[in-house]
Amino acid sequence: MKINDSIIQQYLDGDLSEDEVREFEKQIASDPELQRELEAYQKARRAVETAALKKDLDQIFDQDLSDEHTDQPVPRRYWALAASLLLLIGLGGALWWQLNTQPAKQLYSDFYRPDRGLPSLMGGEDHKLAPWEDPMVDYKRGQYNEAALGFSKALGQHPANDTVLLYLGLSEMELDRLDKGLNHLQSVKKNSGNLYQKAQWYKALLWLKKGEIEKSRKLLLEINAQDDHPYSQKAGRLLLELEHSFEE
Amino acid sequence: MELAYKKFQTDKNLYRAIQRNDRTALKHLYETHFEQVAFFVLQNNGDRDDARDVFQEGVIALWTNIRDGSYEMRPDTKLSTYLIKICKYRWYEHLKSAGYQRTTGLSEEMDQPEEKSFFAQMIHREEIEYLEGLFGRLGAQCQKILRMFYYEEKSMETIARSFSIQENSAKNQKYRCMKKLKELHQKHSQTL
Repeated sequence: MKINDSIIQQYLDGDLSEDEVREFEKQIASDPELQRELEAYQKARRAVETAALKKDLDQIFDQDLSDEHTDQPVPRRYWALAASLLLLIGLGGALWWQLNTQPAKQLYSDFYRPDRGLPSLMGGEDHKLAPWEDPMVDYKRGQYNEAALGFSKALGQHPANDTVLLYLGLSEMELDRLDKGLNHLQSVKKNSGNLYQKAQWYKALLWLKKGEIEKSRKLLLEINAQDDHPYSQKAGRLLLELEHSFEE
Repeated sequence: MELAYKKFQTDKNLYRAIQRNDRTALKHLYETHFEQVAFFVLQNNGDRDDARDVFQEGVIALWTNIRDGSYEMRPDTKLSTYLIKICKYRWYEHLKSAGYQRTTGLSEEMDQPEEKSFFAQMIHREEIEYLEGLFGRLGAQCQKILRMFYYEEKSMETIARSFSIQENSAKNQKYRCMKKLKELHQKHSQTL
């Protein structure tokens, strides 16, 4: 039996016959090179299972547990105070605008959680880094200014890289550069899968922050309609909250 | 979530559900036991993110061992007790390596030999992130195929149908995607 990649995969998948398995294990036992190949495949399989499971666990945590214990960064008191001050000064127009966006901004604070960022491979000197790896380190440390600069630079050399576009947009959101952020989030391509789904969720939040309720709602409905969308349930909850807030 | 609670009142149901990759079982673990682990971690110099990480490591370890048959149900130990124990011990191990001496609320010992060996093969945070990063380097289609085949354990026929391709084509793609993943790992470990 000539052991190649195909045979190793069949062995791991349990697709070899008993005789073939015996033959395989006999050959492998005396060939360290083949053993290394097998181990590499076992690691690859572990990577699939771990990554897939972690994705599900992160989703479960984000949907069910992360909203319960964090503090509201902007207390309702502040907005009510600002509103009454404006009333006193008599800026009717400003008051109307303030009251209209107040619940939206509150909801934004309730639902916005910064994305955790992507894990990076810890490489040696020859390891070719993806264009986003350095600024991603800044992003994960909460250094959004440095991250935005780094991602911008990477974007110059890789104008269509969806990872760079997404995280540049997210960094700009953190820095309150809403229009820039929106622009970059909107450029994330649909075929990038998970990145696009993230971009959709954060875009919806961004619209909310800007007070563009209808645009936000439209996008949230789209997200909620897809069962396998990671933010489907969150979008559903936010939609309920939006209904509730604007009924009053 | 009353339905899930009733469903998993017996360990047997929970164990079987995890083997079958039932997502509600994983949800149940989080909803029922996370806060307990979080309380312990917060009491011992940790924050909520630390608790999240440690609990995730525990669940991944438990899941892996149930799936490959190396965790067997015992009449004397509840699955949940076991899970909480390994999470607490994982945090304790982290504190020890960081130089802390005392822990509050850790009275049990990892004294059973099976527990010790289980604990020793737990995948740690750095490895989890490495594996995740590795997988993330594959294209979206590769990720989907491999996830369906190895994690969701769907048949090649089902996978082929979901992509509207022939079964042979699906097999071929899975083969190439796994080969690519293996090579990415080899390339990375060679540069270290």
